[in-house]
Amino acid sequence: MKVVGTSPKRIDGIEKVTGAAQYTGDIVLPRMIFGKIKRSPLAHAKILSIDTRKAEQVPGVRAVITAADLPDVRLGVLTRDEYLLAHDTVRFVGEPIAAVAADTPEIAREACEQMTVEYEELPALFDPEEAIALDPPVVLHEDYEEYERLIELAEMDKRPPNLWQAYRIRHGDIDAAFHTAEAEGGFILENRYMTGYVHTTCMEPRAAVAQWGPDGTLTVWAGGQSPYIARDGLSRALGLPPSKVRVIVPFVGGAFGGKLTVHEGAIAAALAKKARRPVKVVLTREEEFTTTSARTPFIFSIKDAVSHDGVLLGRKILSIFWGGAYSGEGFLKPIFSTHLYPGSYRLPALWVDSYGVYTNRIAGGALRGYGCAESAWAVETQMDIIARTCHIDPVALRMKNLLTEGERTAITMPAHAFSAHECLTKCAEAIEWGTPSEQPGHPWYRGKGIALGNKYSFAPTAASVDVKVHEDNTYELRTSAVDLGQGAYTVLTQIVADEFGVEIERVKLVTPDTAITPFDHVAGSSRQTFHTGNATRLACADATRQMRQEAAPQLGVDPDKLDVSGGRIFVKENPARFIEVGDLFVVEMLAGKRPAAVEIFGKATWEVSASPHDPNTGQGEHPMAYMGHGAQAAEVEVNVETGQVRVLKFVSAIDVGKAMNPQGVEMQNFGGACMGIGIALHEEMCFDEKGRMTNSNLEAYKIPTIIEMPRSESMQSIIVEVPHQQGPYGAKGAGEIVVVPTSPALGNAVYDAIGVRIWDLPLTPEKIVKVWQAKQREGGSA
Amino acid sequence: MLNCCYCEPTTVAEALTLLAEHGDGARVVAGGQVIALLLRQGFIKPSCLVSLQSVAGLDGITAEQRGVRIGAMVTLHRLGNAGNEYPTLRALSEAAHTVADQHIRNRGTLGGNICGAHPASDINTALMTLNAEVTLVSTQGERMVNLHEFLAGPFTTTAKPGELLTEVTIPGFALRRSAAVYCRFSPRAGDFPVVSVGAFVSLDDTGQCQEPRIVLGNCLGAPTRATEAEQRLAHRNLLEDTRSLTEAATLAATHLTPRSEPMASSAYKQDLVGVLTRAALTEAVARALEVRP
Amino acid sequence: MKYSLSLTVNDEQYNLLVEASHTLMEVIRDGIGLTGTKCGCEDGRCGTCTVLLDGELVKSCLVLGLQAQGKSVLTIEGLGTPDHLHPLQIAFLEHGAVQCGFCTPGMLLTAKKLLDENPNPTEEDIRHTLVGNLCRCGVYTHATRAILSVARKS
Repeated sequence: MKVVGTSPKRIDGIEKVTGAAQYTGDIVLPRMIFGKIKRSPLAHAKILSIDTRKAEQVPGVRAVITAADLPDVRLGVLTRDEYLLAHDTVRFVGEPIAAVAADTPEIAREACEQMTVEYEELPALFDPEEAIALDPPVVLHEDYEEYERLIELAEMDKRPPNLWQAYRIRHGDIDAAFHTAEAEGGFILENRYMTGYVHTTCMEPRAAVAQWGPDGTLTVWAGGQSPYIARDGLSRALGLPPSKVRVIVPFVGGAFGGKLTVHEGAIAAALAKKARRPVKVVLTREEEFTTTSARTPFIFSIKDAVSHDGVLLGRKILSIFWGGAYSGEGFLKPIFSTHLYPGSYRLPALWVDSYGVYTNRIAGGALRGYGCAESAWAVETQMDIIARTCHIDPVALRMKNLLTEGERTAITMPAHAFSAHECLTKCAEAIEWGTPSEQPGHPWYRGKGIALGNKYSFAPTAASVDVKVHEDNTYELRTSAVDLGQGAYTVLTQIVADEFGVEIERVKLVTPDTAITPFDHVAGSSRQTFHTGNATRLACADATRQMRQEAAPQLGVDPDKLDVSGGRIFVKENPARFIEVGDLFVVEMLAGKRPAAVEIFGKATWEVSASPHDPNTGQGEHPMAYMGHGAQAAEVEVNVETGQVRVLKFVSAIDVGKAMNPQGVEMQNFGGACMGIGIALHEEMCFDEKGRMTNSNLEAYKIPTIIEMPRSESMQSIIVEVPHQQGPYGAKGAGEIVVVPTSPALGNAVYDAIGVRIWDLPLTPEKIVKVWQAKQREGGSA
Repeated sequence: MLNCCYCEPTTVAEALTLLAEHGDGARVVAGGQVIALLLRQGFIKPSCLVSLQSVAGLDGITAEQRGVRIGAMVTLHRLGNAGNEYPTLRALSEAAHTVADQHIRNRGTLGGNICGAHPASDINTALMTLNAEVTLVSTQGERMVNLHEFLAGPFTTTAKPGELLTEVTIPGFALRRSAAVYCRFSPRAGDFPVVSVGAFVSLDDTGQCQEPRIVLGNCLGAPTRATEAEQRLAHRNLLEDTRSLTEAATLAATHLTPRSEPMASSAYKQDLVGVLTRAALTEAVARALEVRP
Repeated sequence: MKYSLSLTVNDEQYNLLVEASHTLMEVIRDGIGLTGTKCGCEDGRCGTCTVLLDGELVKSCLVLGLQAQGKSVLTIEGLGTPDHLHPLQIAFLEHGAVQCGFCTPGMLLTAKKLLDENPNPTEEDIRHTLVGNLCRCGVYTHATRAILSVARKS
């Protein structure tokens, strides 16, 4: 019986529905105390002094730390520009300055309040377009040139002093493209778009528990996306060799890009060292919002050259990524976002300048779709406008410009397992594209919209997996891949079941623990099914090879004449000749029986290499592991008096190569729709003029409730399966593509309903009322 | 660390004694939801929590000559259904039904909601539309205050230390053809309204509007009467002069400058006031006419 | 000042000492050690701390522990056990209504109360009851299907 391709109940499900699942915040250790972080109330200031004496005197306080208690190292993934605790300067509201460990969280909080920090307030810079100037009003990092940097920026005569990322694409002759469009009856379309300031908003706040062993080994429990990235971060921040750091990942209550680093883990560790006790740090919801991964906006200025009949001739884009005080987890966004500029389309010329800048806000980070979800807003809205400009149906216009299998995009990514046509066709059918919406009457207007998307999965990357075979026909999978809710543990378990031909109940899982489980890069970039899936298959193959090897003498045939399935090692040509897995192991060692196999332990590493593209041209070889495709469509109704948008119907059609777990794919489709609806319509981090977030709670920052979703029968999930040569069983990932086309699909539907565009996300009720009123003043009508 | 005592008196008199003893340090716990939140966030540091949970007689709803009396401990859940039994409470029931979610309505009480004095309180806006009066008692005696005077601004009331809000009285409608309506808008379900509007109209036999009330919620620190808009309706015949509803809505929208909030500017709130006032008035007139004279 | 609190949680009697300021959520999680009740926001919006207090849905971060004196609490650990799952727990797994699992305990208890009161709810009933339980993974559609399936079976 095949398990891959079916939808067994998730293997971590019983724990989750019974409340037994232990998340980081649920961990209790003997003598454990609680940490709180003292944070900057100012967006930009020099720290003149920190007086911790009063905090230390609060009864119940066990340790207080500042930067002086930590190694003098800067952190950061590709640009080392950030301290764990601020040294002499704070650059955003919420930046950690010091920390306290105390007997209760309340005492620790009280002690933080008792700490006195003297500041000299500096002018703050919030506007990214001001920040990018060669002569900006404020320079955030005077010492930038001294920072350690692991990647090169594009060459420029003079670096604007707040710039931390510069990337260019020069493909084809862009001037000729504009010339042709003008000379041959085509047109040029130029628009400026901006994405929203949004947050991952996991239901589980970030948390960490740190404990030091007597040999100086640090153990940190943290529900993050990568135990190995966490281990390396802790090792660097605390000046420990990696072998002295152990990271254990408990259950994770959602991540979406927001749990890549473990700053609070490092702070907990430093507190634990000083207090000589285990320390737990759990962020409050306000800290979650103000100090953890935000998807900060992109500003895209896009200029397209199009022929009279809707063929793309060239595209020119200037993009500015609104980074925060540090390059943070958004370090690669200005580069990776460019993958969607050509998207799935043939683009003879592409000219891109893409920048990331510092401002005095929270660092820009990852949120499901890492740049592509943002660029899709500009590109797929632009495609809708092009279609309407040349009176071609938006689906047909897209079809006309799609690549074909084997072609390369303008950034040299080969179109392989190219399924955009199929996704688009099926999605359009399901939304009854071409049949206009029924109109309920003023003030409600209905419309439909569609958009296409794709999402790279980054490379280079690697995954290792171990599989231990037990004598009772049980197979133990050891992986550092993390289940953030997306179902990774279940899918990987399904693979093991099939590779050994056993029921899924015979597979045991050892969850991420750097002391036990081997390297896996990260639960991110929709990569685990693809890469960890491949590594799992290879590790199983390694184990079955050993089983055949050990069985061969007992069965008296060559190992390659044997096969393994269902707990038996049998002769391929005569399956009746077999031994059981248990026969491989002889346990009565003291009785003098030599074991046939002491240990059967399969292991494998799957690696995909890639070399970075030239930052001056964006050209190179095969930059990514694979591309996933998807299309989404929505029908909405818009109230032009209140500005409310209701999503009536939503279709998500994504290509996963092979649906390893079809229900899991559907869950991604609907879950993505939900997050995408929030990001497109409801969610926005708001700040006051001092750079303080003004809606840092779940009432004011509006992730969707069940009522913002269409009714269940109006949600449709379509699975497309165009196998990828390298994917395990042909599979590709599904985690991010499901939010890439969502914003433009909804934006295009709103336009279809009311006939006006909104260029900046989110499409809030206020903006809708405003554009509608403007249109009425201009004498238009819907 | 917080040295706070917790008392559960069983009579109003006992509760009042405790409040008098602890003065400013006392906090009344009705449903306790706001208190739990403020305590946990460290915003308040009371010396004594006086829970009303076991005090008898604070959870009744009774219809009397001067109106319907509602005990302070009546839950929002129960209030949400009270309109069926007591027609004058219909708009209040509608307001109660829109508060947050079932979990919160189960614990939330009428008195707690009023005294929390949230600027966006659905309950306070609806109560002011109904011209409610609150009864305040202390060891010194008892007084009745119009809710309008009781609400002093965001999260503040004119209650004096030692005073306990025990009940609310909704006066009966003087004219038979009277109705109140509560309208609100929040883009996401379960949230406080961006803006809400309560409208009360009563029509005499000729259709002339007597003493209308229009109350705007979440525009200023406390629900606010749109007096100019009310004046536009007063003594108009709303059966013949339907334009006055639109005019009143326009006046309500320009009556004040609402405070802006994240994702809603003052100008947008004004637009919403106009839309909701028109809707509320239109519905109120329709409901008033449903009532057989 | 600490007070003695007796309450029943999942049919077991507990006597503890609690501060006046402690919430029911803290009593359940830290005092009793039942961590299936989650803490996602501490301001009553997320619904991950949902429990049934004397049979009523409440957000336990918004209830003072002492308000539960003598009362009976049902948490997720009392809804069903791995060997005897509640039909809703099975349905949530079968219908894919569980992703990261952090909202799951609260959502299940809300669903239980809904079905106790209204064994045959419409989708509209489900939507209005679940509005107080936020989920970022977006299991709403699957949760609706799961609840409807249990309603149909009973």
